[in-house]
Amino acid sequence: MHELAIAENLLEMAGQELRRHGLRKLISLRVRCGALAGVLPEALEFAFSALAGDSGETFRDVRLEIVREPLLLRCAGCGRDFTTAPGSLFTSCPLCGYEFFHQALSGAEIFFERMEAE
Amino acid sequence: MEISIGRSLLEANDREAEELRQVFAANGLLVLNLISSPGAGKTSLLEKTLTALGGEFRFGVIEGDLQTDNDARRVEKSGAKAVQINTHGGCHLDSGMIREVIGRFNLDELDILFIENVGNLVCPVEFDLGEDCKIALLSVTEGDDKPEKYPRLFHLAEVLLLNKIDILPYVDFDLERAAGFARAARRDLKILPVSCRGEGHGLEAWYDWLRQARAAKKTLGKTTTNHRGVER
Ligand SMILES: Nc1nc2c(ncn2[C@@H]2O[C@H](COP(=O)(O)OP(=O)(O)OP(=O)(O)O)[C@@H](O)[C@H]2O)c(=O)[nH]1
Ligand SMILES: [Mg+2]
Ligand SMILES: [Zn+2]
Repeated sequence: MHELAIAENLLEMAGQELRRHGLRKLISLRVRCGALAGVLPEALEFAFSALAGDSGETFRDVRLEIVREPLLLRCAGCGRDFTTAPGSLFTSCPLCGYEFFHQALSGAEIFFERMEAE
Repeated sequence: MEISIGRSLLEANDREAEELRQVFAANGLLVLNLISSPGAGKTSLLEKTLTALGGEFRFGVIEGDLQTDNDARRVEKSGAKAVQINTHGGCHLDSGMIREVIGRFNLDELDILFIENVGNLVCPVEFDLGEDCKIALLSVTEGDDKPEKYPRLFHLAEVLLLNKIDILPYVDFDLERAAGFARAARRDLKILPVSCRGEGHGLEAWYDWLRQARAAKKTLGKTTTNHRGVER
């Protein structure tokens, strides 16, 4: 449910960029979301469209693209790094099979990557 | 026009949390962020702790709830100062909310500040409040698979209190299994089985951890003053 707070930040940052570049209409946004960030893409989309719908012509019909980032783990068994799509900390290492204690190197971030506007 | 941004969507919260951390450090204050599902026993743990250690430390409490000031009133009975934040539907506390209420404490007159987050195992984890550590609570009625399903909290918390062990005989909760997965999420996680009911059980170990964390923070605070060449 903290997707609402994230959607608010997204709208605010996008608004700042529009003003900075003197643009009037937002077309699309791309967000990168780590597998551990605890963000549900559908919930973020829903929160975003609810907020954008209330924010006038500038934000009408904006396309929000949410890219799920894989999780980058350092294996506790062999020390090598591997990525995993499902996003659980408990995944067997493809190199040695070790299942637990992996260290998450990245995957908790949620990034506003780029936007398109005119 | 394409504009690349590359900014974290949590940066505003993180920035403010960092500012709070500086303020807390300047006062040598130990700050603990308590996170659990609703009803796991956060307020009960605070009631026990504040009563037992009230002579030893000066406590402050920030209570986060959707509605009501019930929890603030409960912990204030111990004599500690408590401030209630109502999030009105918000599923977590953020650093802006903490900043807004922090002026209501005399920080230099406190040793330990507890922040009881909104009951929720997922969202509060992502919002840094400037705390020294996150403390996780899991009660035995919630199922021993929770650390497996929601590993993120256990990955970031320093201590896990497994609460309500007084009712272990009535539920199918495998302490070893829960502890195993929690430790798989964080190898050096300190796991303390406790009960906050009646006389309480296992709480001495928690109190000892608090004493030690507080002492470490104080020493650290002193080191900082040394660096500035103010003290000693
Ligand atoms: N049997 C038993 N009951 C407990 C224990 N700790 C707390 N409870 C009970 O569990 C219920 C919830 O406890 P609270 O301390 O209010 O839980 P909380 O985590 O603060 O709840 P929220 O703030 O609503 O998220 C209360 O009825 C407590 O009396 C325990 O160790 N054993
Ligand atoms: Mg409570
Ligand atoms: Zn490996």
